[in-house]
Amino acid sequence: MRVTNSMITEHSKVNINGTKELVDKYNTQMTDQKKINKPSDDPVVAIRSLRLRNTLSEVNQYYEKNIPDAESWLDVTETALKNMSQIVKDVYTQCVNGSNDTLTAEDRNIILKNLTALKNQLYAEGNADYAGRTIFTGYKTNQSLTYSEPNTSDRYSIQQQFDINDVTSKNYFTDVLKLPTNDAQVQGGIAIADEMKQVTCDRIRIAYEGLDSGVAPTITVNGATLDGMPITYQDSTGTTVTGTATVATMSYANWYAADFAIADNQVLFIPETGELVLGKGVSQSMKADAKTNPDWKMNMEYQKKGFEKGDVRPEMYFNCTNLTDIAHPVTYTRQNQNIEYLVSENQLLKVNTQAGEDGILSTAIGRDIDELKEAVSAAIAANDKVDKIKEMMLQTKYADDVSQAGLKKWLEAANKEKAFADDTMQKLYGSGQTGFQNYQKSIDLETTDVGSRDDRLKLTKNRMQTQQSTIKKLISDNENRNQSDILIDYKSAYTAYESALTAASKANSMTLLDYL
Amino acid sequence: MASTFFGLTIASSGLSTFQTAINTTANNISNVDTEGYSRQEAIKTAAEAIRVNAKYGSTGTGVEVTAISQMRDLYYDLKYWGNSSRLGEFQTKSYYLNQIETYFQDDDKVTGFSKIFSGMFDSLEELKKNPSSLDNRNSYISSALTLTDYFHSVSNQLTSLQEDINQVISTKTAMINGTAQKIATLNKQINLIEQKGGKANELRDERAVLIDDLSKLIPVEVKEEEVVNSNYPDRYTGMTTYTVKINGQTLVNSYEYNELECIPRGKDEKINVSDADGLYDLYWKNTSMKLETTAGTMSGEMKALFNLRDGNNSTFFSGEFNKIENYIKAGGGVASQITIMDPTITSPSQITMPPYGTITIKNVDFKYDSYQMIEQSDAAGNKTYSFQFQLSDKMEDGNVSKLMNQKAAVGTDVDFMGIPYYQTQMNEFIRNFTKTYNDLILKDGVDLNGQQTGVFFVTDDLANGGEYDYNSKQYTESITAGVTTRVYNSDYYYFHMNVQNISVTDEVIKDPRKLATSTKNEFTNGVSANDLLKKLSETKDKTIVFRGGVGEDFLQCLLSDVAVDTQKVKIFEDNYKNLSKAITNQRMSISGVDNDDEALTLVKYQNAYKLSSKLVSVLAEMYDRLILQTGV
Repeated sequence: MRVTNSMITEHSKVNINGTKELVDKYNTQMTDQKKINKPSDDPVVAIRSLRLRNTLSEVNQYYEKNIPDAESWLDVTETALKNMSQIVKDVYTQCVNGSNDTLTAEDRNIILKNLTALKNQLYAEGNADYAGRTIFTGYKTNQSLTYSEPNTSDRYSIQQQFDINDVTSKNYFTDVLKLPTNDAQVQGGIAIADEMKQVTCDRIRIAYEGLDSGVAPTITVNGATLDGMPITYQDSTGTTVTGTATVATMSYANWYAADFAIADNQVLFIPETGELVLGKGVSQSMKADAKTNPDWKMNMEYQKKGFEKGDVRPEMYFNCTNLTDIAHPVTYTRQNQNIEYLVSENQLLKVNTQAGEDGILSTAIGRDIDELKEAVSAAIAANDKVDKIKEMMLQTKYADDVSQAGLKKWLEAANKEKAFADDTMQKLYGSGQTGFQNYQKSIDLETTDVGSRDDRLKLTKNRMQTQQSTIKKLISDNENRNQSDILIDYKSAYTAYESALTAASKANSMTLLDYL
Repeated sequence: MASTFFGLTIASSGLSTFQTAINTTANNISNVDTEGYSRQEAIKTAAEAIRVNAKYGSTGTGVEVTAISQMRDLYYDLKYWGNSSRLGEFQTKSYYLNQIETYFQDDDKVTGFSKIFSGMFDSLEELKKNPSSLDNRNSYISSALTLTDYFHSVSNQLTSLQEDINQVISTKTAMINGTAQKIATLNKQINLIEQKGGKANELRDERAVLIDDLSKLIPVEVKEEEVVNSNYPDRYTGMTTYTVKINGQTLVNSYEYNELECIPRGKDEKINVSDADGLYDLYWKNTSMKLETTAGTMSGEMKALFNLRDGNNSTFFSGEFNKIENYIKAGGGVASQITIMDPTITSPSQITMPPYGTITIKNVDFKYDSYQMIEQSDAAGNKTYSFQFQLSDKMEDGNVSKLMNQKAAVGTDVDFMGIPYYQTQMNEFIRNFTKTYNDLILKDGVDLNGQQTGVFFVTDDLANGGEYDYNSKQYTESITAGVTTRVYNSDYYYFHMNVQNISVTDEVIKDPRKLATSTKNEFTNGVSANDLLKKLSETKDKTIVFRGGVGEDFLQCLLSDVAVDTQKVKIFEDNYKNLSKAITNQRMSISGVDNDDEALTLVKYQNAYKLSSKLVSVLAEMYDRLILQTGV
């Protein structure tokens, strides 16, 4: 084929450009160590790279944001639960100490103060928060668990469910002694009829006290209204009686004045103390029913207006309706509200713990402590009265026989009261020990649950860490080239470039005319 | 016997011949680097013999240059022109596709769709953990805005690229016209010169260079035929007819040329709803016929430009014209409403037609003012689709019978994944995605105040400001006899939505509390209830939104389209480049000037000239002896 000089020049140009392209390519690769500059260089690598980066960003979200947040939440929960457990243990210790016989007046006062402080502290722990969001309240993270200030306006209609174990017996004491104020009373002594007597009744304790007396509660047992429900029981003589239960509201003052009298078929609603007192027949009938029917339930709906500081907000524990704005009632339903964080692909971890009647921080703990306090206060008062009368007996004013005889009678009555009060207190301390141990157990159970979730989280964290580094490595393998490979390629491309230049210079330098 | 001084004539013929030959060589040497120059050769023939009254009868009379002809092989020229148009096509495609590729880039250096999309869902994760926090709400809303901004910017880049290509088309058309004019002028000049005998070598070279340039833009067929004098068919006239055709249509016919003009499409002639305004179509100026630049037989840069600018990968609307009825227009006058069955578009998100425009039924254009999409689902769940178009005028009865049951289409099938294709793909994605998302919110989503919210992703009204009203632009549904009929009007909310006008509702931007994060049922359970957010986060990777894939796969679909296409075009470009190199080689081999060749020729003619001049001196001496020294 005829080859012209211009063809040789043209070819040299093309060849030099070809080697330059390679030199340029490896030059760029040396700087960023990436296999491809644009997706069309290798579409498969480019798309794979996209996928891997997507996965990496997801893993980063889990590992760097969600998992640390979940860890913090669980830590705060664990700390709060530990504190609560300690507090309940302290109450238990109080019970143990208190069940000793030898208590002085000072001891009793100290115990009373401690119990008050412990109760406040316990429910304050329930208000613990993490970054401004309360941790024990389920989804309502912007509200505290208890009222932080006394509230007089909120009105709630609360539904509470009871089972047969909520029917407990309580001792009521009539005729609390009033010390004689004048000589006539001193000399007259006190009639037997006016001395304190103990009345034992079966009752159901409602979650709150200070309920609204103006609204009658609706009570149903297994679906049937309690008021008018047929009952069967054996009366004091042993004959089987069938009757109907009747429900009535009575204020505590009136019931006290009636010496805690209750008919066998009567059910009394005492709003001030938040109790539903059952007549003997009613409670017998209910217990018999419950033996045959394992699903025995009693539902009660009552209203409460105004809450004390430290009262649990009803919407946290119960199905209730907020009737504060009567035109716009808001209904709340109690349900399991799990706040779940996505800690890994398709893996949700529950991070919160919800307080509730059936979980930790039930209202029962508060009311138990309150009853303890009442018993201690009564014991303090009774012992004070005894001391006072003893002191009066020593006074010269009452040294005469009539007064002494009268005061002796007073002393007997006071000692009776003191015996009742001390006895009640001991018994409560005794049952309190078991009770508070159980509460502590339930808190510890929850702590274990939190701990196990924390462990799971740690495992997931490890996994995510490994996965993160694996994906980073995959991305690097996919996109990057080994620096040494690039250098070798670059060297060979550059050598080719140099030889192309040399060849070009040689080929185009001479023509025939140089020789003519 | 010949004349005494006959030898001188012969010698002088040699002198002048070799002088001409050296001039030709000089011409070659000077033009060694001129583009398109074919080396010329002086064709020497022995001059006609004359009869001599001698025993040897006739004697030669020397040499003469009969022609200076160029060494050029038309075969390689034709091959070169054929290849050059394909090379031009793929070079242009490669150039612009590389640009389009960068718009969808998403890697370490450039933040692309995938990063922004997963960033938005990461913000959603944070929001899930703490729905009531205003900070989290704000960051989520702004990441959603980043997503819509991304779409705006990509779409704007694509549209401006479309406009650039449009300008380039206009420039190149002017080039074609100019070249045609020059060729016609050259034809005339060449014929003038060659008519008088000889060859117009330089002009032919110039003409060939013009055709070289022209063939890059459009595929040309060149034919040169001798003009034959019908009275004397054997006589050599020296004139030729030179025709240049584009795809069978004449561009240049000897001294006449036809021009192409760019006619912009009107506002109601848009083919794709995302097209820029005023895109050009090529028409012949003399016949007003359209030049189909995207036909299968076309190639060249023009085809590449049109493919890139108009390519919709056959995702355009077409169907069968089935029914017609007349109706009274709102402003008075009778017009036709036509029904199209078996459409290619079977989902509201795939709509590519503008709200008013032109529909073509078997090559006859009709303007329409609006349309409805009708979806009928029967009890078993099978869906049939049909469209109704309200034309601007009444269709004549002659047309009705001719066009019934023929194919109707809005736009044409341009089988290339060009800019409109990427715009409609993005449109389809955002329509599906935002509809899925908005529907979840509208079903029972409430905001921090417990109020029902509007939609989250909205369509801005770019012309008038503000947002399109969602509620007034919904479809109507009716049920008769177990068949549910849904009618979507041409101003249906999601028809309007496209990559340019998608946005996040102003209400939520101003007040992040109005972002819906919970359902009505869960709202009373507290501010950390996030069940709605859980459902929304499934739109990332659990709901099918686009081409059988989930949301985060969107960029992978599109990027693989563009990357594979670009790679293919690059491979073709390399192939044609190599072919072009081989053909150019052959051309240069035949027509190129070789220094050594010319040097040898120079030496050869120099010697010949020396000999001839020696001959003259010898003859002169002879004559001298004869005249001055013989006899007296």
